[in-house]
Amino acid sequence: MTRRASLSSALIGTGMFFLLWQIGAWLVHRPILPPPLEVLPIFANLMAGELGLHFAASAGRVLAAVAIAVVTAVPAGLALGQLPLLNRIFAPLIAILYPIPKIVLLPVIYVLMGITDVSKIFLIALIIFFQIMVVVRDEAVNLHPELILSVRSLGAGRRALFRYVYFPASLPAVLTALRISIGTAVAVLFIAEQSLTNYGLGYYIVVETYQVLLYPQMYAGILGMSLLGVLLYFGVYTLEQRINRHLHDNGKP
Amino acid sequence: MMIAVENIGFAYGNHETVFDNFSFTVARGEILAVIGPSGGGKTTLLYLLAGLRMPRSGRVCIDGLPLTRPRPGNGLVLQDHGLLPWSTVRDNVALGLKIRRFYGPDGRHSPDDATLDPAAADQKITHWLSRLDIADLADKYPTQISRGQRQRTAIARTMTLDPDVLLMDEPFSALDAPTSENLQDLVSGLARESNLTTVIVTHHIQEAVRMGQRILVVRRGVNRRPQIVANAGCDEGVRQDPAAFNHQCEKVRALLGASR
Repeated sequence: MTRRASLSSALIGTGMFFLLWQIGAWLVHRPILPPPLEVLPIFANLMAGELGLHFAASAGRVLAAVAIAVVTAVPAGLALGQLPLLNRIFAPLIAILYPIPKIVLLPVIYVLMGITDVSKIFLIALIIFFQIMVVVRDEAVNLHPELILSVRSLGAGRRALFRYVYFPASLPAVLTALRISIGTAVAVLFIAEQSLTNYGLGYYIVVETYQVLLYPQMYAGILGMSLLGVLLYFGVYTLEQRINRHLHDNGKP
Repeated sequence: MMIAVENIGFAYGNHETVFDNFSFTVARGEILAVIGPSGGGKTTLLYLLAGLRMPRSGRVCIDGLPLTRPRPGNGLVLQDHGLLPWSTVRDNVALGLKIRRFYGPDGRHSPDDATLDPAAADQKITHWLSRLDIADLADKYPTQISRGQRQRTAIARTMTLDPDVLLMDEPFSALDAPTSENLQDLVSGLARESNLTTVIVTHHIQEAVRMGQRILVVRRGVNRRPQIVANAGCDEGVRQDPAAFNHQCEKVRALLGASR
């Protein structure tokens, strides 16, 4: 997709979203679904102030969690992928842990790590960690041994292999895993922020607006959370497009 | 002697021994072809010379020094999958020099006297791209070019590092005959030009006869005494004379048959 086509499709998508919302508001015609034209000015206003702070708090938590997950999961996945013995030992455990919904551990993490940002970030990082580790492991397993030998023969030791082979080889998979897990990460963030904090979009939506029946403001919060999800998704998507040039730039020689 | 294999022993895990007390030498600037059936230890032998595997006994000396790890002066070209699929031809050719700059001239990963000047490196890359006739493809990715062009890229990548030893594992096996013969002549020419000591592993008799000044025939099972034949087939005169060339091929075929 060219830049222009993707921009126009983003505009069309946004237009359709607001159109459907407007139709829904007409049909339902109750305070719980205010029309977009009522919500958007409030959203714009609030983003410049209070809501902006909540947005920043939420974005900070997700980004910190993503960073922690990437920094820990990539080396773990590479180690598993390159050391068959290690993989054989841990594969059954990972297979069991991978599908467990980590959100159920929220109370345990609160008790063990305290009611701080650290525990919220840890929970989200934990979810993304498994997604990334598994794909990086599978990428590393599938690298051609001949490629590794060739690059070793050029003088590469462990560090150069990581820099020039393993890291670039697993980067596309890391980004795909990130893109797929960002939806879950934001959902978990919403739940984790509903209590025991004073900042964050989850807190704003549930405690500051929903519970006091400020529906238009609540929708501003929902828009904020959606915007966070969309920005993260397309941020990762754009990186993917740039990095995977060799996969979709398949013009004949 | 540029390459001296001294009484090496090698076996994979608990499997059968591949080499036992096996010795041979390759002179500086010589092209040695290694031929034998699959499972005969050809590739193993090449990896031993590359320092990618270590013998269980004996040693491999290159330029007088025992080999304990991949040596900066050794160039290795494998049959396939040796290029980074996510990098362009030019970036692939630049990889060896990038790795040298990454470590600096430490004597382990790159020679002590390696020149790491980026401008000189660029010039070298451009030189080898055009010498291997792949300058037009510099911005293509490996999936966008033919197998022969990929092999040229791998050779260019190796040559940018100024090797004195060139090790090739079935480099032309997956290519059609004209492309393969073209590249065989190209490599023979490069080896002569740069006084490269070359070991080329192949299972094609014609390829061995075209390229090798001597031919080492390995066998399935344990290799003890090396069977090395002098080969006149690589001389220009014999190459152009089909009868003489075929005669030489028959001689090698007979040896191969006997070694089974």
